[in-house]
This record gives sequence, structure tokens and C-alpha cells, in this order.
Amino acid sequence: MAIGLTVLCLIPVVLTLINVPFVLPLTIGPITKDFYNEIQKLPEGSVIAWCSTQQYRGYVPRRDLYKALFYNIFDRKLKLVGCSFAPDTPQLWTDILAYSGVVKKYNLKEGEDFVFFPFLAGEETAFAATAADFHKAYSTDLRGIPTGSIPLMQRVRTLRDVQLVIHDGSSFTQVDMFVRQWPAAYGVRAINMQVYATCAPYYGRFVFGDLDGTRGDAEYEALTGYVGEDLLKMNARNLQGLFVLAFVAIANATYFTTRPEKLKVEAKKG
Amino acid sequence: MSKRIYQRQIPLIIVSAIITIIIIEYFVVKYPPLTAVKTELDRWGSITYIFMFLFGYITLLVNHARRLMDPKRTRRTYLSGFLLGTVATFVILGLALPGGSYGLQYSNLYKYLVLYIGGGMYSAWAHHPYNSYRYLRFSSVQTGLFLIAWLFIVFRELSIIVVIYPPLYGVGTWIEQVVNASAQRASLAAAGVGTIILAIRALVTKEPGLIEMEVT
Repeated sequence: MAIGLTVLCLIPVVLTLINVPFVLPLTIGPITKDFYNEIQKLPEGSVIAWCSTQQYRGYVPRRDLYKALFYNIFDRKLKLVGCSFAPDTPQLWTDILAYSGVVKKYNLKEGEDFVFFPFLAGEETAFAATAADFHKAYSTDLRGIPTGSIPLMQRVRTLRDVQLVIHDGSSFTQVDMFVRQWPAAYGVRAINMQVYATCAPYYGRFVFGDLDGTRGDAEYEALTGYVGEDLLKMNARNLQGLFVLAFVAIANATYFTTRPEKLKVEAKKG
Repeated sequence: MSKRIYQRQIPLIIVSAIITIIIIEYFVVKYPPLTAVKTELDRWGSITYIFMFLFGYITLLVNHARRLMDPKRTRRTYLSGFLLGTVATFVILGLALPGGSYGLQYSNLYKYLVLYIGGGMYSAWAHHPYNSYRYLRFSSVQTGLFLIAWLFIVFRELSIIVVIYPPLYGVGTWIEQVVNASAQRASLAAAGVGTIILAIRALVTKEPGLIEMEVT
């Protein structure tokens, strides 16, 4: 058994070492397609507001997904307003700009094509304050430029001036807060980047697309053509998932076969 | 002024007034002056939150300082701790100041120090699967249902299984879209109604709360 498992584990390692492409099949689900289509159907120049409560732990494993999403947004010549509602988020915007290289690739100008705002504390309160008036909520952007003098923000005062909102977070409860204060309060369409279970109660009413964990991320990368780590991770997840299923089955079988023995021992003690 | 007035009555009146404004503005009417007041209150909420953050950091610092003040430590330990802290502060400031918090230097510093430490801390989540596995045991009706739901969601999440048998994608999605969403909606509704009842009880002084219990 142990030898068999070891050999099975070694197969992907060996395939990687000898540089043999190892791609398991993947179908693209409707939820990811919805996410993609919401971006695709926006007219050129539309503004997307991104409500991010993302932290480092959630960002790093998905860096290639962010890159694909940035490419998708700027391929469509859309504008992006990024809001930071977690202390880590401002640094994550900086990092993804550098990692994706979108500024050079699309010849973007900060303040005209995209703008990122600094951390605003308060979670739901901060979401509400930002949606009601970006200019009052943030006196400057991340660079320290006054909000009123940023060309893009002269078009955007409240969430009503935005055509699509994205939520990306690190905690499950933040989806509820986001839905209450952004799409539900302002009638703007929303897409979500946390697992589907977090937005299932709102799907089709306030939220119209989702990236459901590793699978959703991999599907999105395949859909956009900007392939990254997430597709590879999906392979690993497939293998890992099969192992987990096998172990759960074995563990349950062991549990049921050993239980009567335990009962006998207890009976002897009594 | 009695402790009861400033510890309970005044905060209660302030919170009640804020709750009333927010509920009316959100659910009933978008009257511009009311919206302006609510927006201002939201901004103040953010400012208050910042002070809570600050309070948290100060509490952490105080606790660490108290540990350092432990008389068991030697003079050399104090000195080395103080020097290390001072040098680290100046190094961070020195790297951060030229480009500001948006600069590459500070960004890298933040990434390699704060963020990676955070990553390490969250690695402690490795114990979570262990807890989950304990639930994945067909030992009762509850855990049995949990196991079945989990199983179908895992099937959906594994692309290789969906490729072999596509209907499994729909089954996993149905569990989340119908069973899970219904439970979530019910709990949200219960929490919402409960909060309103609690707020009304507090407003008519029927809800003692922790402060009241401490006073009496």
C-alpha cells in the first residue's frame, strides 16, 4: 500500500522533472463564464470599482489570476477604481501592478485609466462611506494626489457612476457587507472573487458571476487565455482531491471495522 | 453624574439615534439631508475604527513592554532589545521615507517582512483539515449529511471527475445554490430580525447589556 502510494505521488514529480506537459482536462463552468461575460459586455471606457478586503494570504496564491483579470479589464479598455479595505491591500495593488506589468503593456496612465485608494478602516461602514461619496471617503489616492484632481475620479463621485463592481475578500462575512452596501444599495451589477458558497444567496439578484476557488481561477485563466499557475494548481488539486477521497473512504471503512472490537473491550472492563 | 448615565444611557442614546438614521435611510427613504448625515456618520465610523486599530496596537505594545519589564531579565537583555527595536525602526523609516508608502522600497519591505510573516502565521491553518476530517465520519445522521454534501461539492471542484461525469457539476452547484443558500438566507434573516428586536429592547431600556450588568 505504502509503496503504491509513493509511486503514485512520484509520477507528477517525475513528469515535472523530465518536463513533460501534465495537463488534466478541464471544463469551464457557467459561474465562471458569467464572471467573464459581465466584464466582456461592458462598453469601452466603463468604470469598474473593485472592493478589496484581500490580504496577503489570499493574494499570493492567486497572483496569476489577478494578472489575468487585469489583462482582461485593460484588454477591454475599461477603467479601474481599486479600494482598499484591509491593511495589506494597498501593498497588494502595488505588487500586482509590478507583477502584471500592465502599465507598460497597455501604456496606461495612473489617474486616467486606473486609480487605487489607500486603506480605509471600518469594513461595512467604510464600504458604505466609499459608495456614498468616493471624494469624501478618500482625500487622496495611494500616491497622495488629491481625489478631486484625479481625471478618472472627476467622472466618479458615487457608486452610481460605476458600471460594474468586483468584490474580493479574505473573510466570508465581508460578502454580506459588500452586497448590502454596494450592489443592493446602488443597483449596480456585481461579480465576486470568493468561493461560490459565500455569494450563493445573492446569485442572480445582486451577484452575477463568481470565481469559485481554485477551480474558478483555473477556468478563468483558461477562458481568458492568460494561463498561469492556477491551471497547474488545478492539476495538483485533482490529484490531491482524489487522495483525500480515498483516505476518507479508507478511514470510514477502518472506523466501522474497528468499532465492534472497541465495544467488546469496553464490555469486558464493565 | 452617575456611572449609569455615562456608561449606559448616553452611549445607548447615541447608538440608538445612529441606528434609527441608518435604518430609515437604507430601507425607507433616500432623503438627501438624511443621506448626507448617514454618509457623515459612515466617515466617522471609519475614523473611530482607526482609533480602535490604534488602541489595539498600543495594547500590544504595552503587553510586550510589560513582558520586557519582567525583573528576571538582565540589563543586557533590556539594552539589546532596545537597540534592536531602535535600529529596526530607523531602518524601516529610512527605507520608507524616500518613496513614501507607495514607493518600491517600502512596498518590498512590507512584502518581505509583514506580508510573509502573515503568510507564516496563517500556515497554522494546517490544523484545520484535521478538524474537518473528524466531521467527515459517517457516525451520525448529521455527520452523514455533512459527508454527502461535502462529497458532492468535492466532486464538482475536481475537474477530472466532472469531465468523466458532467452531471456531478450540477449536483454540487445545486447543494450550494439551494440547500446552502437557503440555510444562509434563514440565518441572515434570523440575525437581522434578532438585531432589530435587540435594538428596540435596548431603546426601551429592556435590554440590560454588559454595561448594565457591570454597574449593578
